[in-house]
Amino acid sequence: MKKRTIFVNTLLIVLLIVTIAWALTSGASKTKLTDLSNQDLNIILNIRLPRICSAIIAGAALSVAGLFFQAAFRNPIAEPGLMGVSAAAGLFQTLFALVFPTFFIGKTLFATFGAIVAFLILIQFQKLLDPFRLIIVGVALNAVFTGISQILGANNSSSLATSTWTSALILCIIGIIGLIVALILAEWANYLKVSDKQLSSLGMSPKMIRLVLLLIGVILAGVSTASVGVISFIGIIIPQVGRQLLGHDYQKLVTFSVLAGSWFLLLIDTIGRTIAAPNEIAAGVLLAIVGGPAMIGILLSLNRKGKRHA
Amino acid sequence: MLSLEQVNFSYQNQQIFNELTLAIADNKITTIVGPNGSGKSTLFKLLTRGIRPNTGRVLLDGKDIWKISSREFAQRVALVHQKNELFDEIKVRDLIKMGRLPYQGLMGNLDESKKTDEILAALELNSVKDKLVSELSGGQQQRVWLGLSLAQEPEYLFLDEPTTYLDLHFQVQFLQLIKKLNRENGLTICMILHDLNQALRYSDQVILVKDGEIESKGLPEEVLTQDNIRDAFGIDCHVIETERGPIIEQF
Repeated sequence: MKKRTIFVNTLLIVLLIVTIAWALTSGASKTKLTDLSNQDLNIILNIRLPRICSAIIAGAALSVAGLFFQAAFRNPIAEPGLMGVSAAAGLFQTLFALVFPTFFIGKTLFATFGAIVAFLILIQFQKLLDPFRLIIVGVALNAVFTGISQILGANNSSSLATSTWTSALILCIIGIIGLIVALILAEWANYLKVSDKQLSSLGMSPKMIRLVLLLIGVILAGVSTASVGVISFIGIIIPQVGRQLLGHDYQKLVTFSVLAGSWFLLLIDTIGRTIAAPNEIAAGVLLAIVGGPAMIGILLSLNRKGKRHA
Repeated sequence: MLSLEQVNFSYQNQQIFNELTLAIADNKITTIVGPNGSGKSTLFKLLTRGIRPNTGRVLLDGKDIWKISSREFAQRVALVHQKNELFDEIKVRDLIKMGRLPYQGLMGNLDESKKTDEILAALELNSVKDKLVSELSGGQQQRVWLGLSLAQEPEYLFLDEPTTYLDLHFQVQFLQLIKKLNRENGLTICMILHDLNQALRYSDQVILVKDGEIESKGLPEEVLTQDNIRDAFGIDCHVIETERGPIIEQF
């Protein structure tokens, strides 16, 4: 198993580097990495690089957030996008932007706050272990927050396409800190595999463990949404693929999610802006096209396996 | 010694235990039996810090168990639950090593102790230690959950109906293992069993509970008499003496 982990992670790093190189050199205007003109350099440094950094960090952050949501809700299809947390972040960011349009840090914090609000609503429904019922609650919340956002006329003020160094830097700083914390605390996600009763018998507080993991997830999702807009499904797809490839140890899965999530979102975003250049297909849209069927596939395979218990 | 001192406990306005005082004998196997709804599980939960008494104290070596930390308690008292739920896949070794949590804490490295490997060997789980728990047979799984509790290095081991979901072969195998842990390691065992014959065969002490009262307490053959069984369970039975000890036969 260890060999496979090393192989997969190395492969992902290679893929990431290759995709970064591709992303740097493609887009609406062609550039090469050698013989750079001033204009080329400008495009690469000020338009593409922040966008690439944002995609990488957001991809990792949203994947890890999904992973921790799944651990905390004990549900393999939980993730901030599906459950309305991202939509709430988007809504709160819009609300804040109506009042303070250029105060970016404030927008980000408020978006994270919005994510926390949604999360607080969701944990009231914690008893719902049934994946299918949980989806309904999440979809409902999602609809509510998205609907309100649209009433307010939000064009989703931020997306990967509008990435600037301001948004990218904040995302990177908070995102990287969050990801490091997630890596350190990954083992906690393993502890939630047993029941709350069992954890109490071991002298631990399941509530505290769950709360911390969800908080990390919510902050990662909030800051990502504030910088690159609402992106769903990646928090389910990446962890699920990780489980198929590397098993169920959350320490391995967090590392995988960081590497695979960052690569995958960068890939999707780059495809989105090159496949129909000079037009762009937003990463969120492409992911929805890929993610929808992937989700159905996952649900069907879960249904076949049934509930697991000792 | 683990004991209840004048404990009162009620649940949803129903008084379950009234001024209950009871001690669990050290280094012995004590089995609690009784009809459904008699309060056996509640008694268990009171003893293992699962629920708080309304009044009265639960004492571990003279100290109120609610005045020590839950980690400290977990280092001395372990509980194998009746229903062991797993919400995701986990390897045998990874599950058992979680028993070290009371010692290492949330930020500790659970792999530091050799205890996990000792337990895997003692419970004959070495051949499956890297398998997923869900892939094991019922008997093996129950040993894994036992292993988790033993990794806590407890002085007191509580088992709530540990044989309910096992077939006959695994029931016997498990109980013999429990007996061995008691006889060889001095582990104080307290378990709830439904099978009265198993209680007779494997216990040093039996406590018969009915309607929140201790109907009888003492040696198995003294407690599990025809009269007591009829009073508690409403079943007429016959206690037959054999060379191996008494056997209860149901009419």
